[in-house]
Amino acid sequence: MKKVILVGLLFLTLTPHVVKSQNSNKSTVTFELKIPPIALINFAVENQQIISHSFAIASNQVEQTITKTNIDKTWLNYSSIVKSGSSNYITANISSGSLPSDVDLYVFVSPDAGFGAGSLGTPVGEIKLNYYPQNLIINIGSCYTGTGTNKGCLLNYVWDNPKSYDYFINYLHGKPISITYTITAH
Amino acid sequence: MKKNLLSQIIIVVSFLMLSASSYAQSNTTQQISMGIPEVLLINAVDTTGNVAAISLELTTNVAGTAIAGGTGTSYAQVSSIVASGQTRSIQASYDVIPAGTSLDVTGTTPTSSNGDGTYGSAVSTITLSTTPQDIFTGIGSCYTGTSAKDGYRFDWKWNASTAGQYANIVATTGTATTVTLTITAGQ
Repeated sequence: MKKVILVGLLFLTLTPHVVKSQNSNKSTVTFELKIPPIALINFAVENQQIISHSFAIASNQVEQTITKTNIDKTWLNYSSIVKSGSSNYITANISSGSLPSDVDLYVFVSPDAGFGAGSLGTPVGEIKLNYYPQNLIINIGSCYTGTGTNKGCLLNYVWDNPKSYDYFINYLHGKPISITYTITAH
Repeated sequence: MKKNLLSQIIIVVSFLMLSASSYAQSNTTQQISMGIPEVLLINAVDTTGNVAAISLELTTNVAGTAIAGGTGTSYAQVSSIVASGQTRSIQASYDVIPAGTSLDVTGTTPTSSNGDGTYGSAVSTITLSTTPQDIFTGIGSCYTGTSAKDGYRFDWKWNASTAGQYANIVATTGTATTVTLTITAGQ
């Protein structure tokens, strides 16, 4: 029996190997793709800021001290990435200073200027500002407005009965009127 | 007993056949069949030379800007032997990527001294899809080496789609996506 095996091995050794092509011709690259939720807002202001100033409180919140005369044109720039089935919205509220009871302050938000992309939301138009946040732009999906002036949404303030309110005196006494804009996830 | 005898006969005959020519003449020729099979082997690795997932993230920290920044690099280590007059391509395609995004790749042929041969050339930047597309063409017989950063380099750029799809983007904590690299048969 051993000799039979020996003979078999002999023939195997002498037989040329069969030439075969290898076929491991595919390989895969695996990726883990992440997109975190995003809610960012900032101002872009035209002209010289003589009295008003703007600053970021947090990445999703900015505050602006406004003037009585509305000499500055303020644009809201924002970026938003939402989770599936969710939306973001932007609110506005008076966050500093107080108005006399017979004085009202309105803000009018214009539609997006069209330099960004995505689901930019719906501006509600004009709201009477108060000390609690009110929706200014709703149903914001994943989008961006572009950065700088003439990008995003233009804010215009309208004073009602401003004669009884001396802005400059209040400002000098450390009581400026400031408005905070916040972008938040629903 | 008969089997044993038969085995012994076979052995003897085999040795006689092998040695017959040696005894018959002092000079002879031996035909040697030298076969090189076609080889097409590819192995995708990261920049450390290991098989691992590449993590990409799209984000921004500036209000008003689009998400961006999903870049990464990997390598494909290859051994290729082609038939005469033929070349191969390396193609890539993905299974699925998150809505509203696109995945581009820019190829660079091997530069390491650990390999040799005809590497071919890279096609310009390709936006991948589910259909395999050439990333490298004109690949002949070559090998790339197997150390870290040996091989065909793939620079990946995952980005928000430019085709008006931004509204379709949704946040994701980690979507697994597979890109298949294929080294084609010689053509």
